[in-house]
Amino acid sequence: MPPRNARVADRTTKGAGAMNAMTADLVDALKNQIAQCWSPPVGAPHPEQLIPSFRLSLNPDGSVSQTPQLTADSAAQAASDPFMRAAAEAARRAIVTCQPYKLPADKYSAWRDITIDFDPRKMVQ
Amino acid sequence: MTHRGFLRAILAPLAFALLSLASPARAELHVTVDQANPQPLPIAIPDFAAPNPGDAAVGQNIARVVRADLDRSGLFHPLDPASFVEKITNINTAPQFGSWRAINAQALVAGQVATQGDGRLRVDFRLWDVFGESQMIGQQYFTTPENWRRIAHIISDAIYERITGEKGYFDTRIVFISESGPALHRIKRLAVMDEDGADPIFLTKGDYLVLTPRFNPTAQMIAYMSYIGGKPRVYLFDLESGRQESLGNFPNMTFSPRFSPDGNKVALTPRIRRQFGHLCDGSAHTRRHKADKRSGHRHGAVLFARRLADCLRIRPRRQPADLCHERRRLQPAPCFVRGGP
Repeated sequence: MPPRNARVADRTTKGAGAMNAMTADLVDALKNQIAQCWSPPVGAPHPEQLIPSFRLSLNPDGSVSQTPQLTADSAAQAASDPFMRAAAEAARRAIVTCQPYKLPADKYSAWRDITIDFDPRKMVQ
Repeated sequence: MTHRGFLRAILAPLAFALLSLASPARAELHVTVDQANPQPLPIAIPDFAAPNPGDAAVGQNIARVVRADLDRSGLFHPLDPASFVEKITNINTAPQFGSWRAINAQALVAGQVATQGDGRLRVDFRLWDVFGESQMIGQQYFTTPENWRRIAHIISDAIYERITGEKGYFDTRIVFISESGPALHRIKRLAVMDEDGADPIFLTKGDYLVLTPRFNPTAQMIAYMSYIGGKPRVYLFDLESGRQESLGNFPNMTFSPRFSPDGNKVALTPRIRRQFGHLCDGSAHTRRHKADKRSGHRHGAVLFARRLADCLRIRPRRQPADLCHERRRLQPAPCFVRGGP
């Protein structure tokens, strides 16, 4: 499995020049804000396999517009694995509790639709 | 151009144009959160509702034990009941989530207690996801009134398991050696207590030294070493019958008992010709002992193996000295009925 961070980097390099830096800034801003509210469950036997991924849309004021949805893969995993379900619920709590997000209003189109992966691997190493 | 061909020629680009309008290509930001801020989960556990003052006292006790269990785990932060705005009177209607969000409760436990016509206690509870505004679990229990504390632990287990994904450990007991008296005349007694330290019971009188108690992982049984009659031997204590018996028939001392994971066998260390062998569930170099011949004796298959590696990977002589207790899950009592409300 390729590291997920590499995929994120690919996306950001698609934009040219200023766009690239702007996207990177937005990603950092969101990441830092959500991390404050994320308290993943500890003690699952294979935490490195529990990486819930959510799709969500934000309103212009930075609030979450609808209940964040798990991606299909994550939802399937959560349906069969109570540890994944717990991990996904903890991630959703993080998204919901940390809103509204403080992001530059003039770049709303860039942060309106978001996919967020919650990757606990750095914390369990 | 046929009629059908005409339609296709007109409709295909039209459909494409409509589809494009419906889903404009939007840039989607992809974020990977790889840092966290681990905090105990704020959970609101009001006293369980009750129809009369007698039941209300039980409802308070159950909520108090559940709060203490979850608090002790370190993974939950039970909120101060004084901060609660809504008073839960009927758990079958959805709570006012806004009032629980206002005090930052992430989860809410709404419960009720009612003594039934037949004298049994009925306990219901629902665990709510406050921000998601949905029920996570709902359970109902019937039991004898004196069993309320176990019901509280079982509810703690259910909440813990639903939120963390891990099995709870609150409905368990700890076996330990109780020590009392002056340093030169210490009295050591075999004892058990609930996981939270409640209801300690002494199993031996303290006439003999007792050491290294171990719970059977599947039955209400304890293996331990005792100096009954001045001879250090491994004994079994059956919690249900209160009987204790010497394990096996060995000429010299035996010590360091451990149950096999299935609870059917015991590994122990006997002293044989001034050497310490290892008795266990190994298939090599086995020698059956007297206990094995007793029909229906669940601990009968005590086997002997010379190599330590055959002994369930247990190293009986190297256990840390502080490993003097073990937890186990209690068997469900026959008076329990479990169902969802």
